[in-house]
Amino acid sequence: MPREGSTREGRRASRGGGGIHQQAWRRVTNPYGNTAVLSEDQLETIHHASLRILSEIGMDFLHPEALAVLGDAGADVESGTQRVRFDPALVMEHVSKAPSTFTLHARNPEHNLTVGGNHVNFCSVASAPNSSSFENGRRPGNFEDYQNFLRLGQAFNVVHAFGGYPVEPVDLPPSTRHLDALAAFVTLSDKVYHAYSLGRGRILDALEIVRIGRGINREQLATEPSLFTIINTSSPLRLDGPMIEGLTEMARMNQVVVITPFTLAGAMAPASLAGALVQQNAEALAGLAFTQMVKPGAPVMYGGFTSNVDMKSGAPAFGTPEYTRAAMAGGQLARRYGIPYRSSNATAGNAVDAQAAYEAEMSLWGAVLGGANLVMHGAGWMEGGLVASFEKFVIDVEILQMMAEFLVPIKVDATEMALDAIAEVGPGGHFFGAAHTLERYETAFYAPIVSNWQNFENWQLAGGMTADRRAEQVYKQVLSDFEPPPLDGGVAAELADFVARRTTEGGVPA
Amino acid sequence: MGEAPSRARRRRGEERLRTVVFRDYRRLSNPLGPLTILSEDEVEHIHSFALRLLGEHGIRVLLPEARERFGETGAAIDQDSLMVRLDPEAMEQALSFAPSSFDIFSRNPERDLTFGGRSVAFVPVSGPPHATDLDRGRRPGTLSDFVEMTRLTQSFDVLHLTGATVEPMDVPPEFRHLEMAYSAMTDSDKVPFVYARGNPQVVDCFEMIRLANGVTVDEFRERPFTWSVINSNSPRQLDIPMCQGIIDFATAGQVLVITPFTLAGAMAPVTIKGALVLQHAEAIAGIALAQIVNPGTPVMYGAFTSNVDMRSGSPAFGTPEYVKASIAAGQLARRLGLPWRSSGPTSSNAPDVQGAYETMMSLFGALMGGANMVLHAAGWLEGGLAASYEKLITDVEVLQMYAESFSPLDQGEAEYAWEALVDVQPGGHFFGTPHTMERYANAFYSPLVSDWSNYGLWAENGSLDATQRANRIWRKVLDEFEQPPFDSDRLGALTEFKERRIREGGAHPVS
Repeated sequence: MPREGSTREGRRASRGGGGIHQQAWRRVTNPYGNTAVLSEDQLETIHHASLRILSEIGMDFLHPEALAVLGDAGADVESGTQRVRFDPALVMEHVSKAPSTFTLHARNPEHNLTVGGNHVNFCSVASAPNSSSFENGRRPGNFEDYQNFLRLGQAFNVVHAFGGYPVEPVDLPPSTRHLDALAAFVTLSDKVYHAYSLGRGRILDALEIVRIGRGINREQLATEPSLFTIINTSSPLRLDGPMIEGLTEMARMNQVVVITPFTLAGAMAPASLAGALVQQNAEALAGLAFTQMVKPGAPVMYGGFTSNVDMKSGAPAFGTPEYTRAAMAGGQLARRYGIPYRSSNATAGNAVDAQAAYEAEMSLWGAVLGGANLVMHGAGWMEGGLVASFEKFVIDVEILQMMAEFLVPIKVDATEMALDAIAEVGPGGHFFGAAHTLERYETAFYAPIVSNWQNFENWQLAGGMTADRRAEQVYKQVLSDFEPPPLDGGVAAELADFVARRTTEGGVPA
Repeated sequence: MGEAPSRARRRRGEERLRTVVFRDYRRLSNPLGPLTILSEDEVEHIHSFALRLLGEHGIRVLLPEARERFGETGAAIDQDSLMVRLDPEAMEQALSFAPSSFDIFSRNPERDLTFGGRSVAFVPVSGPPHATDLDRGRRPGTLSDFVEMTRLTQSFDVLHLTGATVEPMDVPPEFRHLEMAYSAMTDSDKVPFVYARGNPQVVDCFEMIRLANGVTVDEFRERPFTWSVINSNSPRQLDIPMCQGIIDFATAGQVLVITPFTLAGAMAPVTIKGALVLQHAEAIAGIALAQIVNPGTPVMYGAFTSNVDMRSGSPAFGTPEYVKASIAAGQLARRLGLPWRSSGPTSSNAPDVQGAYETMMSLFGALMGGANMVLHAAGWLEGGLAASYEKLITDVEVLQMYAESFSPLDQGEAEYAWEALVDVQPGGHFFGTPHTMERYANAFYSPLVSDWSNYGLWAENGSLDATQRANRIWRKVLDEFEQPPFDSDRLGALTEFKERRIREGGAHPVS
């Protein structure tokens, strides 16, 4: 029988999320190529304009160590200031040292990720200060919600990694919060995760936790990227001290640094897409070059997060036409430098409603066809990142699964074309009972987790629940069915000891 | 959604509601893609299998005149089974007469459209028996609903042609076509749709459109002013009204969109590839009939392949399979050198988050597949059984966002904002720079429905979700609606004709 590579594997009902039928874990690739919104000329214009910015205006690096590294590498550090100007050739020389593809290792090797090429990896929502659910409303993030989001991210196979804390557990003390939050990634999940670059101490703890979780020594960790960090520039044209410390320690250990300028056109960036892209590219190139100066060959990603503000209110907007084109243009720029690309699934919506869905789809459309290798905030993000929503998480999982299934190509062969079946079923007949149908009955098509395809009358009889309400049922079922992935007893003990010791030591004072 | 918003809050919400901002979305060109999902070999494979299916197994044709026309091109006709086996070479020859691009004309020249190449036009939902909105609930469609839907269609530039938005069930079938055409011609100046429900109704509608456009009978036949959709009875059957519709429209030189309804697992094989072969075969048969009747008839290749839920038999739309089928259909249409039509459907029963994401998936397939016409692009719910007022508005937002995505990045040096980048110090902001101030009003897409305010402000304004906001928008648009200007002589002739035909008893549909 003809097979479609991973298709059937992907469609086989998997019960990784308890009683919920979902796609099996698999690597998602985009076989259809990328959509270009910039002409070759425009791409080069943006490239040169951003190099001119770095050479004429420069960028501020708010850390003496960084200034030393940059100066040693040949950048022009303006004395008495933190302003650094770069010769274009110097930028390109260092950027060219970055690998075009690498593997991110999870503590479960089946969950390792390939980052680069046409691979697409989806992350959960990250960094929301609040969480929300229909049952308990909108509230400041807490550790219980945090752990529940980790359970959802672990349970849903289409979520490949955690791009940060899904929600900030503000009920944990700031000095030791990172210890408990990072340890929970190890105990509740066996997927790849992220650590915040909030100073040196926290990143060093994170590196130790990821090492313990994987049960490896430091030498092996240094050859196997297992942790990633997002470095947001403080746009325009500034990189803050805590980020620099995190970047430096991560790069030294050969871990993944994702340089993501947050260039909101009309606020932290010029009020035109082209201008915002020039600035995004300048900041990204400076960060990427700096990372390679710290450690040549360290795995890095080019992050794009250009959107626009509502010019009438100043409110940030996401999933807009400008956002989508910026996401696609960002992919073109990243490929221009041969560096893996990060984008996001973002919306400004305040409710799990039509707006949240169409803005998310606009964002994902830009990310997936723009060639993103890592899609941050893939599931659960709302309110421009101020809320992690349990219901939206499930809705996004459905959308991500559909995207993943869309990315499985059609193969045309005689059997699948069903000529015999077409001949067998007479004009005006139907295919319900045809042999060709019966053979493929269960696995032929994508099976949704939230979408309801009943007719109106049956839907109404069953309670007339809208999709957001059905999503509520799904996340509750997944949480009640959840079982943490197996964890070696020795690893668990070592992790607990480390967290206990560092907690006793006071963690990292805020 | 919490408690009902207080009256004061609601009023504030209404005040905040922007008057609809019109940008020029009248003639859209889609620079993105098209994506390809089939190799060239695979396209040839499907094409040759489709011709083989028509040649070796045939298609059942229920109208004698249509069988005769096929017979003239060498088709083998079995008079018992009514099966017509179509000669592949004759099919290729007939297809070669179909234009790769054509214009369609409106009574307002600003609404004229081109189909072909990278052009894309959006049409609202067509055909549902029910209308639904938050205020009045779900009900059988009425003429009043049809008029309102036509007016909403007229009000948004991003909807390019009017459609049969909802079936006016309160109008007797013999008068229905007259009332629908009358509303389409008076409440809108966009190109109208006509149902192919038998020759007498089609003749009436052609006459009304001719009068509204103020053209002679000959001028009407020389240029297309209207269009229809012909759905085959999949699998492999063209019934009497369909064949008659093809003959009527082709004879009059009006636009035909030949659309097989190939639901994989029901009326088509349970694989997308199998459904595509069937779709392609049926489309070729219908298009060929039009070209045999009148070579050069403007036609579009219609695609409506989706799949059923194999557990329940329910049709599903906006699925990954639907998206892939759309992109493949675009390749098949381009193989024939024809403009093509896709759709924006969803199976959702509510204008909720599912309705939005399934429609987004459908539109994604249509637009990345390079569709020239997207039918059911706004307002469709329940797999086509209901036309939703609120969903029409949220879909218009989506269509406008797609339309904006088609516009190229500004080429001008100023857009690179060099002066602004130099002006603003690291860590500063761009709010007050001259570059920003100059672009303040039009820099970015300004949304119709989307609310980007923060949670506190949004809650203060009544915590309205997108569907509730859409409700306020359509009511406002209808409140402020004014019929487009209409030459009084033409309007008089149109009205006189409609009233006379009603006095004469109208025309019953033929099925």
